Amino acid sequence: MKELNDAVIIGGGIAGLQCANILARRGRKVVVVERADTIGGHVAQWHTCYPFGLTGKELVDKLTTHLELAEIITNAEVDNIERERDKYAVTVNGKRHDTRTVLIATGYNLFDAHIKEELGYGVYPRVITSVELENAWNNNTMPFDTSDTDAPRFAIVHCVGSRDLKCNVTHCSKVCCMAGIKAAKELKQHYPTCQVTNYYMDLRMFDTSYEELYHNAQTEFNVQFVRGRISEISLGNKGRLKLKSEDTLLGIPIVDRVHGVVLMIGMQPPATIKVDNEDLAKNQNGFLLQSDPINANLTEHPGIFIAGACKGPKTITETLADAKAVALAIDEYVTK
Amino acid sequence: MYKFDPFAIPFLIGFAFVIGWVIVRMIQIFIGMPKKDKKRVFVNIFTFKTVRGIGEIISEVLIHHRIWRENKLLGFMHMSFALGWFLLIVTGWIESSLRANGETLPIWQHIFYKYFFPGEHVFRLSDVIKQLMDLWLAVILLGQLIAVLKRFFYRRAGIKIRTRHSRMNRIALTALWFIFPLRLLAESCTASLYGGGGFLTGSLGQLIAWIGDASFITYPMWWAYSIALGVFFCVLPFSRYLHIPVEAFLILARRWRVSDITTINRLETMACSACGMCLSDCPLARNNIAGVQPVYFIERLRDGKATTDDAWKCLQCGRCQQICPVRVHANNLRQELKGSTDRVEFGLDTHKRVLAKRVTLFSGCMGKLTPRTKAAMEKILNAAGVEQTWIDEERDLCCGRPLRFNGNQNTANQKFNELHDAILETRPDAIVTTCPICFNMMKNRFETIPVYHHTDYIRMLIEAKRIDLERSEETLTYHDPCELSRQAEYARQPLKVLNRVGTMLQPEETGEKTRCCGGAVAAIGLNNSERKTLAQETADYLSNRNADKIVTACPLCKKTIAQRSKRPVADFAEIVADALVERE
Repeated sequence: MKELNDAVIIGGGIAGLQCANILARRGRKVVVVERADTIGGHVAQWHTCYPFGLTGKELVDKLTTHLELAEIITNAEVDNIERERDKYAVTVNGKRHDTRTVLIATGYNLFDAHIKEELGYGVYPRVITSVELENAWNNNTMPFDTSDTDAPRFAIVHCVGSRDLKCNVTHCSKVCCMAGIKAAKELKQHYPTCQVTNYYMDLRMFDTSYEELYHNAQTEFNVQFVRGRISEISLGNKGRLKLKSEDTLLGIPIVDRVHGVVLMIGMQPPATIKVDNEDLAKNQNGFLLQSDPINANLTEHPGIFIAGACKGPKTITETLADAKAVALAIDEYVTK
Repeated sequence: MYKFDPFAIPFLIGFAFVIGWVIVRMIQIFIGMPKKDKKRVFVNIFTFKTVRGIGEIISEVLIHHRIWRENKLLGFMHMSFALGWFLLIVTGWIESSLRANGETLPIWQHIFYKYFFPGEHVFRLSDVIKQLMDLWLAVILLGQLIAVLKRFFYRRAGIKIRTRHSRMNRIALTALWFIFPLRLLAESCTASLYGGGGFLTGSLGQLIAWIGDASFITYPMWWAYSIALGVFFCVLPFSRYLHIPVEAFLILARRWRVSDITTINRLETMACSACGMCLSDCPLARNNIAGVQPVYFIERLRDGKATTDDAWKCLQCGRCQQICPVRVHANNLRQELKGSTDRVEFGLDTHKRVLAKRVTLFSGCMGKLTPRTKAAMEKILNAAGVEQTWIDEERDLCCGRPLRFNGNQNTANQKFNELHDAILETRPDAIVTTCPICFNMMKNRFETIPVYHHTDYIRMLIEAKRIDLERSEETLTYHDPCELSRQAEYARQPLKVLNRVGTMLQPEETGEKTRCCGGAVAAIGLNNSERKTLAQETADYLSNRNADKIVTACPLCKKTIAQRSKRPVADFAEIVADALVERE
């Protein structure tokens, strides 16, 4: 008889790793299935994670203390999930894994900034995404070339691909407000003479210490905040970018000329997962839907659990807590 | 000699009423025309234009050539009624006139010839005419059979969405459907008593005579036939059948170059035949969003009951105008409702085509939201060695078309004049815009300077060998923007260029039959979810061909499709720019 796993975890991001780590520590047989060639998901790419200041790599390392006890399959493609009485058969890269439970922790996809063509991503090299900014810090490179000026000006554009009916997105990606201010501070630290302006719709500083971050950015780093969406970015003179917007607090149209733009790209629902050839239930934004109001990780299929940002945009802290909760739920389910 | 029978009274009342009504309305319209157009009518009436007009009347009002082209079965059905009835009247008139042998007959004796002159009469050609009369009647009855079957098996007839007709239309339709079977029965009954009649009425008459004596129903049959005619004529001005007389006047007015938009709009309103062909390919009908298709909208317009939806929910993509057999320009009617006119000529700019050394380019508001297109254009023009000025790089200029679409004529004119002056200041040899909406607004409005859409200009550069292109392995699906393929009638040429750089995978509805992207600026009454449905449908439709890229030539289409399609969307210029071969 084929060996039976306790859990197959689809997604090797922080949610999947947290859950796998806890279950492995408790002696459960776990398989982690990751699409990319390394584990850690999006978080592994982040240079610093707010509010604890860890790098993404450090954070991922903390989640892998017991993972030598689990089986990790990278470069993996889930072909099929099928129910067979009280267990599931998950086919990964053509190989079948029998398991009591399946955890969907597929996280999110990043919004493709090319779709907001008016923001000039892919046209002007000085327009980059928040991910490229983190990558630059990771590689110890400067994201923008400012050799032509002593006092560079940068703009950070919030809500790119979030809360934007024009690109079919109604949800808020939740973390970009905080991450955008963090990026402004980092730019200020790397380019001490620069001026940074954040263009926002609302600043949703919901978590503890977020409001302080916002306050601190204004008082200590002199970051400017303008409430207005960028309508278009074009090439101005001297290689600068021309941003058009409206300052909706002052009620006037404004034009800003800057040396670099960072687009805070939002979170999009992950690729669909099928169980018995049927899509898992989704909410109106395309993220996976929890079937139970009390237990945040249940789906309508007993034994199929969901956790992390595949349920909707989440901060790292929230994702880790959710993953811990699902570990408990899976442990209980397997014990039963 | 002036024999008369009271059964002709219903017909005579109806006939007098409809003739009077049409004459009065046409005179009203003529009086309402501006002086300039009245003059044109008098100048053109005795020219070849009228002959051509009559030709078109025969081909459209009688033969229904445009319907034939779309749908053979419906073409035959419409022709059998129109041409069949027309020939029946004409041949009947000849028959009765020949029989009268030089005498003038009153109209009822022409129309009810068989009643007033029953039995066999021998005169010149009488045998041929007798058979012809029955042939025409048979053709009409066959058409009617199709019409009846079409009600029940409409999908078989190629109709995707069935028209819901108003009460007046249904009354008129019922009367119309009674006319010819009643005529057949009336004539056959008469033939059964007195003999005569052709292969149809004569044979049926013999059959009736064999069954029994039909003398007691013959007279009521003639009454019924006359009543059906009378009812049809009396209802005609208030039903869709008004198009029968009015379409002829519309065709002539167009031929005589009547330019007054109100006059044409009034005629077109009356000339709509409510055939419902506009329903099948309307995205709003297909998605059950709004019943504002011309067939319903124009009916409401006639009754003075047009709704706000009629004005503001339509995309004005022009698909219905393109398919309309009467060529009713529903967009003009909607613009009138919105309080502004958007009378844009069809076709391209008519000025002398020049390649030009100095070109002024205009992105337009949507073009400014698609910087990739602009970058590609710059690359192409640089490669071709064309000196370029982008007029709205620093300034914000507007062609005014969106304002027109939304009923603000004055500001629209003001905006256009600003643009016009700004462009002339740059003293260009040619003007190029990357937006087909702006293009239609700008063409022919810059004195002697030609205006091009960038697809057209790029094609000229290629043909003049100013740029070289290289073929790639890419597969492409080209989406025709409605403003380019239908309004500017520029549909096949972009495909020719694209065919040289990639393999085309075109959807079924392409060229002038293209689907609306759903982004249309005219439809500000659509809510977000309705727009989403429309845009998604088109994006899926284009993605279905599984090409590597979807190509379009309008910044609005590009943005609308890109937001919802699974495939990347690129502008025509981007594809050409990617295929450019560097010259030594």
